[in-house]
Amino acid sequence: MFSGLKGKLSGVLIIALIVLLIFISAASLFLGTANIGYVDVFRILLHHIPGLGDQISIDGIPDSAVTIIMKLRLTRVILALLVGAGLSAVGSTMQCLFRNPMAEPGLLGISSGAGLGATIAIFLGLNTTVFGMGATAISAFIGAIITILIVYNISRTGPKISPTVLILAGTAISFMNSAIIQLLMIFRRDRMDYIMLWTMGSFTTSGWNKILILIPFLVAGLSILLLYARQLNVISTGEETAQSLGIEVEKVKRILLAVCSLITAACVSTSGIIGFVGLIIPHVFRLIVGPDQRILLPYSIIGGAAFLVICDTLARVIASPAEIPVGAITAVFGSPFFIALLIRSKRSVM
Amino acid sequence: MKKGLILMLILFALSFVAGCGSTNAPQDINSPEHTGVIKDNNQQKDASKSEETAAYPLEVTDFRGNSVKLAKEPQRVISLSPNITEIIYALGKGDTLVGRTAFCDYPEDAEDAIVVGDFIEWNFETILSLEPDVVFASSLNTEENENKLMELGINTVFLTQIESFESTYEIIDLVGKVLNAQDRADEIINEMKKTVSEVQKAAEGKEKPSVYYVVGYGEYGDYTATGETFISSMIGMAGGNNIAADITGWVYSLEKLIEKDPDIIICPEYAKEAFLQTNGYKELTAVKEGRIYAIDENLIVRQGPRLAEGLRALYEIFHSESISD
Repeated sequence: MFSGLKGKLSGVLIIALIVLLIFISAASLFLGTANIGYVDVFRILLHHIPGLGDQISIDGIPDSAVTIIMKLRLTRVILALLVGAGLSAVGSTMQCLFRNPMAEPGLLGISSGAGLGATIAIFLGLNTTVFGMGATAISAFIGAIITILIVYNISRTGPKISPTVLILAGTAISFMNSAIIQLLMIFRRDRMDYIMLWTMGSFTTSGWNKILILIPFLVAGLSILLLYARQLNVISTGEETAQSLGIEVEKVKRILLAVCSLITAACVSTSGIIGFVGLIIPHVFRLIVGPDQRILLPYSIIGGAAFLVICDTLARVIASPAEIPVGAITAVFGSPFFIALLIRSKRSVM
Repeated sequence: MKKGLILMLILFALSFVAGCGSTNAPQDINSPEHTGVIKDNNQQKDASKSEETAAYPLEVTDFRGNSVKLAKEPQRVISLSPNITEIIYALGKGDTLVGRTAFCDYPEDAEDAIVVGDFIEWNFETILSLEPDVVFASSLNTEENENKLMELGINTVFLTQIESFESTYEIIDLVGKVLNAQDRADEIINEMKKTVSEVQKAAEGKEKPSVYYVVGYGEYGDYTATGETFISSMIGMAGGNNIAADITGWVYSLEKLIEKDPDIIICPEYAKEAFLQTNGYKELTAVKEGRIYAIDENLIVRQGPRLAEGLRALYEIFHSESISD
């Protein structure tokens, strides 16, 4: 039924990919504006492993180096990893669910809703913190959830959702949100730059608080997506077939939509709108391992994580000490890869 | 073949990461000295005048109401706003400045300090690696970035921009206190106050021209400093009538501008030529009669020691005469 790599080979590949992800993450910890020796980075990391910490001393390493590694670089790497995994998994699921190659986490207006929420917070100059989350992030999350609820209710007839209406409503709401964002920017010219930068996405203000908030969303969300991968495979071949095979199509669709929305809302509100990852990474791996969700989803998760860690590292070091918004990097460096892949796969088909 | 392709992608990505890392200029990390921010309130204004050797450890309350504790006289200072950089130099403490923003261009010596960001983005890694004893930040950044500074345990003094001319004195006073240059700060403030009263005295009784201050124009939208800004109060102090004084925010419109047809237009140096050429604006009486004046906007927008100079420059434009010292 599905083309692509068979079980054994794909098993080896995914282990290789995980090893690579660990390698990339470690490499990212060594790179940055501040010049901290490799040995020192290792010592700092080992010192913070519970149980091992007492044996490894970090005497002689300046406090600032410890802060840079533990509170800046490590949190950024972990956050990039989580967001990359989340967005890519959502993209993969939605492309399959909608049988639409253009589907991505922002398709249903979630990203733009988060953007509008964040813009309102920036516009009003809100400056409160709840559970360690800034007003901007909270407002973004609320905006994302409100948007998806509106889109969902527009496209719902009884318990049934029409994918076409869902996509169209999502697109329309996206445009409306973007327009309101622009309007608000005009009236707060002094805050325009922040709004612009927020919408481009960044991990600059990563911290353990954001990671702790993101982890439950991702662990629960990705588990559910993986659990439903087999049923989604069947649904993607045709809803009637799936129905006749005893799958509760509408229920599965609703669950997947809800999970996708929550993952996206959590990712976008902690890091801003980071495009491309959720659209392209699943396609890259679909070209390599085939469309079987059970195989494709794990690949998308690991691949998305690795890709975003690489992009964020580039964002940090490429124009150091200045930072480039990671959303710009993902597209600029990701698109050529993807186009090359497309051309290759086209040739191998012919 | 597919495996080969993946490998290629990976190698390419890695070589990129590695290549970028090696181009970075190394920054040394020496002995650390991070003092935490401790909550307490006791800011005494001008406690004692005689000391140029203030008593450290020193505790000051910043504009956010945070109490900042300094174990010793700061030797490594980072300024996150151009006006604060100017103040640090005016206080004679320029040699302590190790980090600045990309916009800190005055005085020229300040450009030797390492750039740690601009108004919007700060590079926290660079800030930390410079091991500052104290960081001065204005409020011109996002709440998230500001919180991050505190979270990283960086000794930060927030000098929130308040929309009043007088708050400049408070900023200079506090920077002076923190950097053990209280006497010099008092001198600067008195000097500024003297200029201000000279300007105000000179402007008294003179006819008030109507004034428009250009922040943005043309296809990018019309923006000006309206009634709630300190720039607007400066126009008033210098004996002018800001035509936008009756509204708030920054947004204006060309129609309103033409309707009010101000006597004098002030615009930044770089914008003057283009402003004169733009449709609509060239119909303004002030433009036709050549009463559009370019001004070094850094004298007007930066709440620093040169603000009084800016005020004097405004007066001289409004009343076409100079005030002698």
